[in-house]
Amino acid sequence: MPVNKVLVANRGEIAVRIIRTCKELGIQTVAVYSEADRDSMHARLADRAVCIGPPSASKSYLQQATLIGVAKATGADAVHPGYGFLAENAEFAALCEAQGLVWIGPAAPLIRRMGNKAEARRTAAQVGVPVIPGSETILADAAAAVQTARKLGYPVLLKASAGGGGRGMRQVCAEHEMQRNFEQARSEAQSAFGDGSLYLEKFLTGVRHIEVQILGDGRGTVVHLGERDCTLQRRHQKLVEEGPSLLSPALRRQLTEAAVRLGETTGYRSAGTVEFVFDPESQQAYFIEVNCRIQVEHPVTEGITGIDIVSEQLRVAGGEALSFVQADVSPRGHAIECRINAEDAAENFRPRPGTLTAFSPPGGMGVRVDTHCYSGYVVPPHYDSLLAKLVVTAPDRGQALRRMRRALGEFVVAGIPTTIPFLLQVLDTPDFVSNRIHTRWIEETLMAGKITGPSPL
Amino acid sequence: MSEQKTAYYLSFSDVIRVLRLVDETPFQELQLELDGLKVRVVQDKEAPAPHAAAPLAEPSVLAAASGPVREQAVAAAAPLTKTVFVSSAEGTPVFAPLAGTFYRAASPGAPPFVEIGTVVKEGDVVAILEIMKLMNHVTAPCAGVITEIRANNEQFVEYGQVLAVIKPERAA
Repeated sequence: MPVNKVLVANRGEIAVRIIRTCKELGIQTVAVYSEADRDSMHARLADRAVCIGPPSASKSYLQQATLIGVAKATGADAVHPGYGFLAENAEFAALCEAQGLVWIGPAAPLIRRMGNKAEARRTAAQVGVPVIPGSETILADAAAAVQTARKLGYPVLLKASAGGGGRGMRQVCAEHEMQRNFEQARSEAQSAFGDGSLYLEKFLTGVRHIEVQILGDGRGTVVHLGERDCTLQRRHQKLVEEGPSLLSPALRRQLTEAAVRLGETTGYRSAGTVEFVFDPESQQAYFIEVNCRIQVEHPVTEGITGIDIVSEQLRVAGGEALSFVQADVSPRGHAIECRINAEDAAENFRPRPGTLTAFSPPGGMGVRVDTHCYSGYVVPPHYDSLLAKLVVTAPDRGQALRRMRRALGEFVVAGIPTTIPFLLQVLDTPDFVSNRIHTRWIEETLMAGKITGPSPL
Repeated sequence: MSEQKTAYYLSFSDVIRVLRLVDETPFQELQLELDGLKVRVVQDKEAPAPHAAAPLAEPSVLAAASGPVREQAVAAAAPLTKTVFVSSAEGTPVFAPLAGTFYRAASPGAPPFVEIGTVVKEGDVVAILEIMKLMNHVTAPCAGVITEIRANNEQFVEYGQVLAVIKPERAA
């Protein structure tokens, strides 16, 4: 049954983006907003908007009962969770389905399974997807961790099984540090994720982050839409993403095929991303995790494939097949996305909410801006600092870089500091231009003042 | 989008005009009703009526518009000897503490918690908001009389929506 009315269980730019595709498909939309989001764009664009609570996310956007109650009261038949918030909350997905609401995402049991990172590693290994050398299972205690670490060789990374997205990790450089770190990591994981289970991975340095976008129809068909390179990060948070990656065709084939295999084995439904780290020295790629949701950087893939990922999600949710087959997917050109945050790069990226006295996004050929901001908008302090995603598409990487510099230069944002100046500098550094960066390049090289760039912070 | 209601705001010059009216008439008390807004002016030669709202030392005027209840205090330029009580048609609103289905009674068939005219104490249950089978009591924020019930039984209401209005009254 095609989806008729979607409750968008999110806010900000992703809520706007989802509503846009719904409008194009003739699907009705219901927005929910907290008191802090009364003047938000997503509430204005939706066919119906309901205030669901005070500013705090825990009392509004994370209120599962309220979201379902609003969906039922407004006659919505599906829920799109966006990213973050409840997007990978298996309990919420299950609750929606139990209440007769179509969940626009993978089935709850799969979300739960892939949400357990140690379990996801095992699943990947079972289908021949290379995983970072590490523990086979959850570590029973520090002694088990020491044993595993001896085989791997230091340094190693203690990781929370219930963690993800760059959180809940601890580096251990030598055996005598293990006991202390193990206990600390366990209690941190318990309090942050409600689950203290840990596993171990070899700590690889100088790696790149490569991920593959997959789409499944939930009935056995899984396709990939190519890969994205999300190496430019700061403290495990992505800042710039691009596609395609600079991997050799052989490596690219290896990763995309592995991702599809993983999707097929798990009967994947809707959109997902299979993440890998790539070690340029050994030319080896290793699986890290699967994200069972649409991701922030999905426009990069849309830019080079021309496929509307949200549209495909809605089709699949309505019981239809994908609108294309694998043979139809032919990435063309190069796309780069810059995340523009309300942060002061000169003040250690401190978030600075406030009023946008001017907001004038760039335009022109091959320029896309996904944002919820507008001139006069008051950026609330209660949520993440993402203001906009600037995505450029061009025939090749060189032209894309020039277009991105041009577009960033045109982007007028006044009233609060943004990361635009920082991004402009990054895009000018030789390391980035020649793509010689790794996931800790910003902290270790750029910020440490080891290249000509912003003054050391 | 929620229904837009027209707002009526009493300006300071309106207040002065009202006060002059009171002055020029032999009456002790003037009640003015305008499109849902009530203004009551009492000459304070005598003690204020016992059931009136708390007397104000400064002749500040609290005017509320119909629709979202707001308070606007307008300070007088020169002290006036008149005490102005404004009991608008709004009174004190009872806001929905969450989004949910509004129920007037504890269960189907049971008598409603309140009706128009019911006298309530602060903390008395006036309604239930249900969300996903979870029942939440909506309580009176102050003592007084229910003057309006603004939602229908089984209606879905938003967070912050005005459910009822209480005309505040001091305990006797």
